[in-house]
Amino acid sequence: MNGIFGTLSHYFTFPFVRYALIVGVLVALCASLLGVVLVLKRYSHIGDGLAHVAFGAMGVATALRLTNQTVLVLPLTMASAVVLLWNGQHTKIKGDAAIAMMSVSAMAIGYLLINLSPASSNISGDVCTTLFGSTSILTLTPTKVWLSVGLSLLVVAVFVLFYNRIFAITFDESFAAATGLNTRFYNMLVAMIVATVVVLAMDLVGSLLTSALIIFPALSIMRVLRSFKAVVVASVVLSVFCAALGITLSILLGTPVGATIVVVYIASFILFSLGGLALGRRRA
Amino acid sequence: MPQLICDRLTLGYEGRIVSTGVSFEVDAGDYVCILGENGSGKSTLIKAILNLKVPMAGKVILGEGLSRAGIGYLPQQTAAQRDFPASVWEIVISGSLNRIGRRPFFSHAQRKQAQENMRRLQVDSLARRCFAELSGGQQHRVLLARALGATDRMLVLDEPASGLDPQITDEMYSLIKDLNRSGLSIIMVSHDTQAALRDASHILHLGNTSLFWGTARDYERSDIGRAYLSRKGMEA
Amino acid sequence: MRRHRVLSLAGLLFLAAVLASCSVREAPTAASLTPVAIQMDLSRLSDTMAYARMFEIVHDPGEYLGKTARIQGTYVPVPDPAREGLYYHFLLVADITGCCEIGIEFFLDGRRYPEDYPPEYARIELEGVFDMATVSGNRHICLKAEKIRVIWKAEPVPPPVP
Repeated sequence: MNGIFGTLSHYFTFPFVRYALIVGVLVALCASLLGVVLVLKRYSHIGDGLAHVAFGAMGVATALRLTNQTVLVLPLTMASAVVLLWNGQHTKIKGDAAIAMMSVSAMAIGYLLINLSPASSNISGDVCTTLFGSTSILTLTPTKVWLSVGLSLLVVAVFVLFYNRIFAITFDESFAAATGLNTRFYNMLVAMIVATVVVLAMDLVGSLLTSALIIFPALSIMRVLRSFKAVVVASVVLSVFCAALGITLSILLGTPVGATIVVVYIASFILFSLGGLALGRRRA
Repeated sequence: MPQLICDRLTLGYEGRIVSTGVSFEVDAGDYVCILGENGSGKSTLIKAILNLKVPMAGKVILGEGLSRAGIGYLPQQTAAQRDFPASVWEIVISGSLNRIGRRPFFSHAQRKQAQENMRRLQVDSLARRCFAELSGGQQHRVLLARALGATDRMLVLDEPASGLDPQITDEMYSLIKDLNRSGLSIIMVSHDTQAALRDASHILHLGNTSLFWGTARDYERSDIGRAYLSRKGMEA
Repeated sequence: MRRHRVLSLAGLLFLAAVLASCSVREAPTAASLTPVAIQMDLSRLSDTMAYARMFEIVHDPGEYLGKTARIQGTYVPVPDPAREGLYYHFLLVADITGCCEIGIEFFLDGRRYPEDYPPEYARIELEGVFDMATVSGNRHICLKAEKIRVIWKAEPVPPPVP
């Protein structure tokens, strides 16, 4: 045990490890906030769909030989989020098929473009990195760290300031609209935040696993806690803990960062489900 | 000056017209019950009144200082809400959202009002409880408390007693009548003609082929009313 | 995230191409060759950490010059396209998925290729000192190796039966 602590304290002297933990924890935090809203609005699949769109956007950015891909990926992802959430609660039936079509098309187009453009010499390595996240979280430049910190703080600030309105459109959108809330605006706001978090999270866990960051903490906590505020706060705490643990385990054991984090989330979900059963929570 | 005027509304959905020429006025303190068969446009009318949907023709005019944000609404419950992790307090206070203006958080006055509304509807002891774990009647009262947070003038209720036991249903209707007596105008969509005749001051009967607007007493005596009531197995 | 990928492997090919077109290539300035205690032991790090560490070293070499290190990785010899028989020797450090790799050139004194070098793609461990090599005006970090140890070697592929 001492050996592990010694190793860890040695690892923490490296700046890239500290950066990885800061950004990883912040991104997981933002994703979990969103996850509560998305899961309760029955939009769990949106995180996945948008991550696929972002992959496609990266393919386009590669074909256009852009050095800073975020310049293209973020607006495209935001636009897709807006389209998908435009109709709010009325999107449901059509939304399912729309998301499926959009995400699979984006993947195919993205992969095609990446293969056609001669910019890279290791295409499968690139694709693998983008899909599953790799060590990109461990090779962050200070600029990227500041950008991620800034965006994350912005997401948290927006969520806190608009907390009551976000609750209203999550619990009962028609009541909110009937009593005068501009539900379209707030749905769009949520869409923008989701897109931002998805693009940030792709660096951490990759396209395919982004949706895990979003939905797992909320689903785990909802097995046990039953008020909205408690669920939000506890999801944040859980996501921070799991992300930190996942990153630490992956650098100790040499496993891929993204998949390790998700496995920690899965373990926490199982734990909380058992806890919920033990506490006798009614699950409808 | 009436609180609400509906002027020659044409109601429909998905391109089909369901009702035309719907006109009526609601004065402060009225209790209007909207009756009709399924598919006669009752829900569409409610949505038009609440500005959730634009009517195919005609106008909805709000008067007497009643703004869009000053109408309380009790919608039919969705399945998703029955499992939603929210405490009673969180739901009730969310009703005051239309009065929050630009502030991010609720004011002290709004919290006090919400507590008062919960007390009025006898759900104040349930404040910390999870909404999903309450009985049907308790849930309806919580949602009614929420609706009160949005208004002190007019309540629009969509089938407020659906899915409730007869005794709980009676309690619900008497609560609504109490609210009406304290000054709130009520517009209620219902299938329950007995309660309508007992409590309502006016009846609006929507239908594909018939239409009635007038006082409850007139309805009982009208042809439409008698036909409807006899179909429902009641004496006029 | 793709930048390091492009930099690492493309860097190898770039060096080979540049060397082919350039006439002048200076030998690395030799640091002290007397054995010193290893200051940076990357062989004890997990794959994930080793890759990230190497990435940092290669892209920001300043503070690492003159330090002694032990590094494990894959041996990749790259032939000079223009000069027959001239090879450049690289150590490739990869993460566990093999998605990301970063290479560093190393030098061993007094050896001839291929007899004194390990087989291609063998897993090796090097001990040496970080130094800078200059390629017609471009400086990049390299390892002046003193010890090389083969950990395992890939089996040679038998020639196809005619």
